[in-house]
Amino acid sequence: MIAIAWLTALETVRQPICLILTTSAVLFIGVLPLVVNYTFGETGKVIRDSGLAVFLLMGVLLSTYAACLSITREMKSGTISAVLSKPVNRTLFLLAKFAGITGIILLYCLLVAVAVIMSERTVSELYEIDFYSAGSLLVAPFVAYLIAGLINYFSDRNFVSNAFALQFIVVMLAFVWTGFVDRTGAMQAFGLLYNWKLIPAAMLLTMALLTLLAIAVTLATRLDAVPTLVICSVVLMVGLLSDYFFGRHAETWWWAEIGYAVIPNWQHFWVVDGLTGGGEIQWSVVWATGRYALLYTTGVLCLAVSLFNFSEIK
Amino acid sequence: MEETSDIVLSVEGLHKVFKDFWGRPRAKAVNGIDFEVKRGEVFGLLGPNGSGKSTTIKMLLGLLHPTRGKIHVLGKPPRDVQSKVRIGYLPEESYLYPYLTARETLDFYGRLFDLSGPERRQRIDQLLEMVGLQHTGRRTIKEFSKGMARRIGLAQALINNPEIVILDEPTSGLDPIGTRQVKDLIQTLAERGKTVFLSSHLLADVEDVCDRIAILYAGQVQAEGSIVDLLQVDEHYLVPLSGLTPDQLQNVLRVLRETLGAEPELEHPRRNLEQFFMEVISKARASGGEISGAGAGKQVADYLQGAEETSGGGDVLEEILKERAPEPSPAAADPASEPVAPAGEDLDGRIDQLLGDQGDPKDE
Ligand SMILES: Nc1ncnc2c1ncn2[C@@H]1O[C@H](COP(=O)(O)OP(=O)(O)OP(=O)(O)O)[C@@H](O)[C@H]1O
Ligand SMILES: [Mg+2]
Repeated sequence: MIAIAWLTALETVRQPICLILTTSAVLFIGVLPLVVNYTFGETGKVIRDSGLAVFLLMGVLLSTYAACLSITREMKSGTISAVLSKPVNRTLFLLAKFAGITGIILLYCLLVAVAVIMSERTVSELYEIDFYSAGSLLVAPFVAYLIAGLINYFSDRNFVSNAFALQFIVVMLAFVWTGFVDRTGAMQAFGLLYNWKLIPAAMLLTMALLTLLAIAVTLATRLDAVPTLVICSVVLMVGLLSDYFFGRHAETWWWAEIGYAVIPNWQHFWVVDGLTGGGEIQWSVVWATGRYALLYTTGVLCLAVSLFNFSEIK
Repeated sequence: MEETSDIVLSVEGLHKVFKDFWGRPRAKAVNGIDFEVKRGEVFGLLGPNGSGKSTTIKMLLGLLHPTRGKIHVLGKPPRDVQSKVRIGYLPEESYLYPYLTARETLDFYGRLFDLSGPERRQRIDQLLEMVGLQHTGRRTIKEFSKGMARRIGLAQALINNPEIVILDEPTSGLDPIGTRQVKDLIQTLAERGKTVFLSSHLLADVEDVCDRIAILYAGQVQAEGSIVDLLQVDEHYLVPLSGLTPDQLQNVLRVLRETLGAEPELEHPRRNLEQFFMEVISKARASGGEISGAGAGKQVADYLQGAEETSGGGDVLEEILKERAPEPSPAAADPASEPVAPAGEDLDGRIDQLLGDQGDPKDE
């Protein structure tokens, strides 16, 4: 079923909208320090908070969109009927779809996490901008687009998917290169100026996105694109305020207890406040949240599989 | 693997009611139909729009669940995953991934059957050549015309060299050459012992290829039987005559008049539009011209022909014309006699007129 997973990933990255979402996330995070640096005192925190917020927001859009695209639309347009008339197990089909989108989401998360780390470096000195990190981050997507354009012109390969892949590669190269230079342009040991403490925070957000993706996939087996998007946003909102809505009533009201259990509690995933003032996120927290996410995702996917196995393909 | 019985598809008392979200019945699509399809048969399901053809086909493939009734495909229930290895299916409409190229699409479907790499490549080459799309290169299916997409769909249905081919309106959207090719393909498949089940409302196409048909209306079978039984008009006869001199014709007519005691009807046979179209296109091709759409393609992919007999794979257009060309009758070879209907030359003249002055078109 690698073929289906691969195809899902390919179809997803050939969608212009996925490229647009990732590029705008990268550029937004890249521009952020230029705007923010002269206005606020604690710029590092501002960059972190808003960068990760963009990370989450665009990721939510990307994962729900990809789920709708590859499941709802496939059911509607009938491509699924051609696939399921081949010797393809429905359970494996759905899991392969999930795996394919997961691959794309992971690439996205890595890319945007790197962008946030680079942007935070840009403002590591107050009122001074590090043009090495800011410049290379902002230029990278354009270089990628340019190369993809040239490839498309000369060999007629798909522009969108190439731009997506190249953008990933070029940003990574920029990250590595910038890691070796200090603020004056001299060589240094790799990554001295990077805030590596962002990694656990990014990992938590990645888990959040994958959990949400599982929910979106489940909904997409039965609902249209718009309801899927709406329900996913509601789940996200309510889940962010889960402690407020359900947590404090959980002991007294049965509905609050159910709500608290059923809706994922995004507070577990949003721990960036823990980084303020040089604080650190404990790996044990990441581990515990990872288990929560894994359990939740597995449960939701089981539901998705059983729904999908009995659904009719029209 | 071998079934004991010769019946590969059987449907008994099939009902399908579409329900709405709340489980209330909304449309009765299929209303108690029965039929059986034997191995090696070409079976046609006819019926007006909305008579339940596609619904029936989707139930045969396990995509929809019947409300009531029994279905057996190759002796198994339709949702059996393994029996799908031996089935090829062409869905009714847009069912291809828009962002893939022709080759990627076929490769993907080949992978679903776990075909090995070299085998996939070989089959894909042959199939693309067969449907005349070997030159589409990196263009994605989004940019294809309807008929081109349909051709890929057909290739996709045959990638596993299936025993049963289920085609939902195989000729819709195809040009006459493509239609003709599909009909030839269906016949070749049937000769190779494969079973073809197709639905259509293009009666001419069905008439040309099907052994047996069932006519659906309002979800019920209204008529079923072999084409010959259903269509033959027993009390009428057709006697093709060619190369008669006017005198001979008068003699024949006189004999007929005396025997019947009534004036016989006399008509010239007419070529049909399909044949005329083929000739126009072949002339145009002979005089050169770039093809941006689908080419004519080879006749049938070798692997579908079976290993023992691989055809030379001539051009379908030439094959058709060869087959249809009026055979030189012995009378016409005689310089003394005049042919009654010089349709051949007449038509050539018409084609030259249609194509305008293009130098001298090569003659095949
Ligand atoms: N998903 C569905 N939901 C509700 N009703 C449906 C659905 N699909 C088909 N129908 C109804 O079932 C009936 C049969 O439809 P079907 O698609 O089988 O017709 P068909 O014979 O294939 O027609 P056509 O020649 O137009 O392809 C129609 O009345 C149609 O409205
Ligand atoms: Mg139909």
